[in-house]
Amino acid sequence: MEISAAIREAKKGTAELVVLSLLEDESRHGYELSRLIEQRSDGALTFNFASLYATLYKLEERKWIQGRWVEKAGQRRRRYYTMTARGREVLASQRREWQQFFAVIRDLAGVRYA
Amino acid sequence: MPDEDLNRWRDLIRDRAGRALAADVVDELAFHLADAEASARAAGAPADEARRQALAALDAASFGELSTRRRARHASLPSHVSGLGRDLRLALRHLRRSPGFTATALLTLAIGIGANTAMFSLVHAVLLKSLPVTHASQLYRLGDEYRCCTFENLQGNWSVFSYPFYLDVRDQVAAFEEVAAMEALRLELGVRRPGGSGAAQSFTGEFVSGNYFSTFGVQPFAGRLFDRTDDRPGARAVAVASYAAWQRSGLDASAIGQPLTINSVTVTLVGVAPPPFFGDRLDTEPPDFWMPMSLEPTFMRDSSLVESPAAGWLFVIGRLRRGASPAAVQGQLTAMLRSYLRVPGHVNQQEDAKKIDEQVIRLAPGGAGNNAMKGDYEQALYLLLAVSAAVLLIACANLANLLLVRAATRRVATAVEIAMGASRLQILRRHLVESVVLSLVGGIAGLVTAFAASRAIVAAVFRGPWHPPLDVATSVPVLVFTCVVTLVTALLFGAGPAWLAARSDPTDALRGSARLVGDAGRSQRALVVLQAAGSLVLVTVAALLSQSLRNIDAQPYGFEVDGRLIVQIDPQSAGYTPPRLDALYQRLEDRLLRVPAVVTESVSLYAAQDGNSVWGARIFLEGARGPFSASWNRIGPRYFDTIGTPLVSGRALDDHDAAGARRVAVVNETFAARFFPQQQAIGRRFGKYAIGHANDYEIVGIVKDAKYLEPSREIRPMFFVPLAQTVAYDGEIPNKIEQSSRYLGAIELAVRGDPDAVAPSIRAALGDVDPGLSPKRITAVPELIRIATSQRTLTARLADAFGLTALVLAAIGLYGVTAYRVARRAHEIGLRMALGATRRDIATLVIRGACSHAVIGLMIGVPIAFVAARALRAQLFGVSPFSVATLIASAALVAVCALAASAVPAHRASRLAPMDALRE
Repeated sequence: MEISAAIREAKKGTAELVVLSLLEDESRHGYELSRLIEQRSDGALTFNFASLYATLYKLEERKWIQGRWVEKAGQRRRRYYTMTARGREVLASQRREWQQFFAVIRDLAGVRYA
Repeated sequence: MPDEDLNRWRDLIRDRAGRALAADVVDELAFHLADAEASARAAGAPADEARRQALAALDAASFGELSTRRRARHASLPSHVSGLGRDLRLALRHLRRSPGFTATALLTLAIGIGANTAMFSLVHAVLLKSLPVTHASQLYRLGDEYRCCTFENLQGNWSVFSYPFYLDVRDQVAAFEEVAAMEALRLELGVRRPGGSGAAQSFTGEFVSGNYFSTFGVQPFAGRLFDRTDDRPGARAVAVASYAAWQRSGLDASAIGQPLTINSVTVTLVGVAPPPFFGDRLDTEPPDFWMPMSLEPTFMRDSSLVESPAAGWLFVIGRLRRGASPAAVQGQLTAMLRSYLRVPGHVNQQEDAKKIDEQVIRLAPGGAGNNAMKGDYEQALYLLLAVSAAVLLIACANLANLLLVRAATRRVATAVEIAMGASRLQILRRHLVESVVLSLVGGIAGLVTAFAASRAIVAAVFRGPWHPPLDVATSVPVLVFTCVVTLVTALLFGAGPAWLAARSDPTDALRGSARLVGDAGRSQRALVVLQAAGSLVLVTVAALLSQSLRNIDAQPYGFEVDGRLIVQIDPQSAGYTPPRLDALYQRLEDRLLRVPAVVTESVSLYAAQDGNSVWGARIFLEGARGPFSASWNRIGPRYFDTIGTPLVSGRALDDHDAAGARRVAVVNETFAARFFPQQQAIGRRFGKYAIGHANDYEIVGIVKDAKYLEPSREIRPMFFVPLAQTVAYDGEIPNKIEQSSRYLGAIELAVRGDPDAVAPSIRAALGDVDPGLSPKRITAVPELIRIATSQRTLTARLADAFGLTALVLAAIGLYGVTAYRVARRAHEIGLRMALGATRRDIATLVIRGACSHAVIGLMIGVPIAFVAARALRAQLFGVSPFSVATLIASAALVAVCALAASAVPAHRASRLAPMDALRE
């Protein structure tokens, strides 16, 4: 019980990192992001879809990503998110922090990460 | 994907979210779910399975984090400025939508801010304003007290000086760029154009040093102002007119450079002072003509003071050089004064020589001039300013109450705003903007009210002959004051409710109805307590002042008020010299008694209640007792009959008390009781000025005490000497005073019928006696008393008005709170009734709830009222500041108002139908 609670908390923290990582190379819309997260984590990581959008809006508010409505021919109107320069800086520094964090956890708790 | 599918998802999202989401958020989420459904279908799932999966995602969604994130993303006006603009528009819309609330609030604010602004503009005009001169801050006055005038006395803290001492200061104190002297008394002038016939026009004049205008840095309006070259013995006689006198006299530009006859002396009018310059002091009678000091002996002849080394009759104001230290100059002046006083003849009394080292001159900022009105009005003005501030505070409490109720009714709206992502700061700002808007509009209305009110107040206080150059027009300091008051007001009444609104918990607000919870309810009750306390204080103050006024009106004056007229004359300005005076007084009597309405006539040096001043002297009693101080008056025969002061014992003065006869005097009861306690005063002797004169007068009669000074002032020992009898003294100054006292200033008349209707025939009679002897004014005695008490009357009336306003505001406040609480507690009341409570029980419950706070307020108010009353002491007459009766009556009045204010809601509560109430 406590473990799953801990992981739930951790997931919240990782959401930003995950979303930023997925937007690093190309612009994506919300549904695409949720699909990618599910696929790449083999279903281990799923976001409640409202939380995903909450995260997106939060990142947008911080100007780390920018969203805009795009209407492509023959397709439905979608809101695409693109990473900003500021977002890239944040992603780089977040990666460093997570690496340091895992290093510490590994040393202290014997947790290994793949 | 068909649109209806998307719309279905949109509806579902809105439904599940349970809160308002921005339209494009709903869109984005709907697209997401539609995508999910579509891709499940594409992966081979049957339609209902695909739909079930998407629905499961929706069901699992938590919208909590989402909704608060939306506002910033879609705010089309991100900057603070446009945010303020939006708040402003919103505030105006809110105010327009509730006209009842807005009108009440604006009226309250206009009264509150208006009263404060009016009081402040008076305080500013009377007490704070600088003279309209160049660099007023460089001006320093010798002496920090207003006093006029002393002869031969050491002043301790000096403020009036002799001309020789002024010359020393002018020539020796290098720190002064310029230093000017000006007469502390006003000279009565009769002004005529040469060759003009008929009565001379009455004006007032002031002798000033030649550098008077250059010291103040005043430029002429027309012609030129005089300077030091005009202030020399033998120089051509010149005068400068004030702008007001220039207008009043009907003179035009052609008169400049032409001669005028002033008090029989030919003087050239060289110029006119600029309109704003009213002289060196704010006074009820500003000077009309300024003349150089060198003319003083020509005008005053035997009573000239210029040469006298020991007469204190001049104010001295200097312009300090930049960088000069006032403290150092003060030291130098004090040292100069002491060495001046050590010169033989400069201190008349032997015993005074020992006290020379205690004499000081304090240098005081002189930018405001020699403020003659400060002493008379300072206390009353600050009192009224404090009272109006208290009214505003109560008004603020009322508004805060109204706003709390509004905030409660808008809680749902506020909660939605918060849920939509508005920060608490934004909510706080929005509410404050609304208060400030209200306050600003109220402030503007208040300014207009104040403008009219302060003019009306000045007109009511300064009646009859008084026309102080008070400019109560809206000026920068007044505007600044009003702005500050307005903003403070907005914060006072707006901040509390705004803070409470911003603190409201959205989920709580959305769940519940618009009820006033915890803090807000407590704040409302605290406001009721504050209002009750404040009203008690104001009502008590008003009651004490009104009681004082009634006491003053009810006291005996010691003379008849009805059917009496006082005519003010000035034989000196009409060119009379002492040898011609007796004949003049006789001719006046003969002629005036022929006016049909006149019953009796007499004359005196001055009349009771006329101008609030008396002549005083040091006296010595037989057996070399003294000195004591007493007032005195010189009177004609039949004086006491004419004014209606009863004789208590002995005889009055009559025609037999002639120049060569035994010198006699009549004294008042206070004189007899103070100086001859438990003895027969009649037959005893006393004298003025010097111990060697202690046997000059024999007391032949005692009259009832009469009020000569302002009616609230204590009666002083007073004696009356006959018109014709004078004493020759050794000293120069006593002789001059004795000679001046021969120029009588008042004619008293007892008349039949309406005194005002008699005035024209009196004026005509005086013209028959001497066209040059124009009466300065003819006033019925009741009007003299009204003038003398006008300031006090108005203070009491204004305090009454403020007290009443406070009471009404407090009652409205209590009513509002009670009514609101009854409405909110309808459910509880219904329950109580369902459980058997009678209507009476319910009414009692409501009234007890309302009045308990009023009672707490009263208990808090009692000590404050005592403190306020103590501070008021000097304004009270015949009533103790700790008058328990007044306090109980005031508390009862506030309590009755509280009861009345809660009775209506209580009645309404008791009429509630239980079932309706329970349904609420």
